[in-house]
Amino acid sequence: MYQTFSLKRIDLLLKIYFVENQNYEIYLWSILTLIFMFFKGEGTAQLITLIVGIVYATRFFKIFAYSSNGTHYLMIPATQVEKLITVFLLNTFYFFLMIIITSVIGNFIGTILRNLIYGISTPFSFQFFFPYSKLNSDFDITYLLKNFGVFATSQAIFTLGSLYFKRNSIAKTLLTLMMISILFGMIEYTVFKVTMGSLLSALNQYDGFQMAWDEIIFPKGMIFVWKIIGYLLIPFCWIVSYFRLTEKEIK
Amino acid sequence: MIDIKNLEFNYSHSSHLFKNLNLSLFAGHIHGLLGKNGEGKSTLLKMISGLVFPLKGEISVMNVEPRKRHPEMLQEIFFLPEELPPVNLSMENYEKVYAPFYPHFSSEQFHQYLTEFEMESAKTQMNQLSYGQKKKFFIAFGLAANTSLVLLDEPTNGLDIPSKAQFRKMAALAIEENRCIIISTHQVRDLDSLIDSIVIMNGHEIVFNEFTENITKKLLFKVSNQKEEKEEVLYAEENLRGTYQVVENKTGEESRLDIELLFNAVLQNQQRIKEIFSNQPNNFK
Repeated sequence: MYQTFSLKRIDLLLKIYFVENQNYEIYLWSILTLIFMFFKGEGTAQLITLIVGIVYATRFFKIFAYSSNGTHYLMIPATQVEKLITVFLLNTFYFFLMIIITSVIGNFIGTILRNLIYGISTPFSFQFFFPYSKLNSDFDITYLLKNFGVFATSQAIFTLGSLYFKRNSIAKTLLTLMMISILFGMIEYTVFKVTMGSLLSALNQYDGFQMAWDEIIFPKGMIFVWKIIGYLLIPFCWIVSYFRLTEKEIK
Repeated sequence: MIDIKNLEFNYSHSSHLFKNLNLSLFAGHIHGLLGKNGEGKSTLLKMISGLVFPLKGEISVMNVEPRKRHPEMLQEIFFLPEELPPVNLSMENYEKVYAPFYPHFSSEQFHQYLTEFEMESAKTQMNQLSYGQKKKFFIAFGLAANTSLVLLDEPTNGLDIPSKAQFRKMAALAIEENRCIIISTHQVRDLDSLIDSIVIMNGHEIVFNEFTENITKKLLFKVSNQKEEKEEVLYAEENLRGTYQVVENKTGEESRLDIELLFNAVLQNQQRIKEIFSNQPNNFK
């Protein structure tokens, strides 16, 4: 009987990652702490989290770009589930946690330095992922969760992309997403054309991008379905990644 | 240990690399997998370790299908590819993080092997090692992992002359009753006096698979200054010392196996050698 899941092996895989990448980790989080000393608030934090997160996510399966690295990785005695869980833990939970920690430390040091340099007394507040309109309000976990959802989806998509594309996976995944968007756009165009006669009249009648979410066009139930699809995208991408990794060959 | 039946594989749709390939390899032996470049030796090793999947046919390694890559199977296999991975670790840390995956790994053996290879500085970063040094490190790790199956693809490439001899000594000592070592190479002389079973690939097929003791019973390897008229010479090669020959051993005379001569004889006189070895029960496939 084979042991399909072992926490010990996941622990060992995590150990491999941290021992192999200790310098990378130190540099990355030090640089991000410095950046967060100067920037705070929703826009910057979101942008940094998404961009650096994508680069971080695609690092793991870059190993398959070279057969020697791929061979070494696939020969590690652990199941593909354990290997994928390790990547998921690192590029989603660990990364997000570290972003929060570095942003808090960065913001804290930044606030102290600004107060010292300019002789002001701005209180330190936890504003990470807060919208600009709510920058001075109390801590609210919903902003954090909302951003985590978007981040986790992006990580899942780009991890899958890195397993599909051997080289330049970020660019190729973005291109694929663009193609899918165009496809959806064409479907949307067809729907408007059929239901309203033309896309132009639809744009005139409703307010630009808001129209897709207007319940006159799409009933509330439909919006709910879209949200569910959005959330399901995370497990979907990881499941497809699992099958992709299982079927991976080193030719 | 390894059972391959009716294996089919190709890299492109237009040509077959393997078609109907059959092979059985047993524990307790060091098998030499010989063949010219491009015969598919590395691909075969990759298939055995589950890195490449066959199109048709069956592969069973320790009664498991390798493509499933069960950790219990992987912890019993050590595969040393010809191209080594760039590892961003010190030798000491590599042992620390990878050894726990192998339940029979012996740290004592590992350090002994490293000492024999004259690689004693454990703090050295692996990406600072030369290709040959890195190879020695992985050979030491692979043998110390004490896995049931050790697959070595061109292990002597990049090794200096003393290290080649050291490697032969270490591999010969590492073989046990329940352990199987497969060494793929085109540098046949490097395996001299090490392997006890020879598998030769030609035309993407296994054309020869015999234990060395059986080979010397059936074939005679000798040096002669004159052309043999009475005997059928399977292969001959002119040299400064005379003519190296491979002939059928009809007298039961003892001779030292010359792997390179055997290899050339098999490639040149495949059908006749097949006939000689099929005269009595053996494991020729």
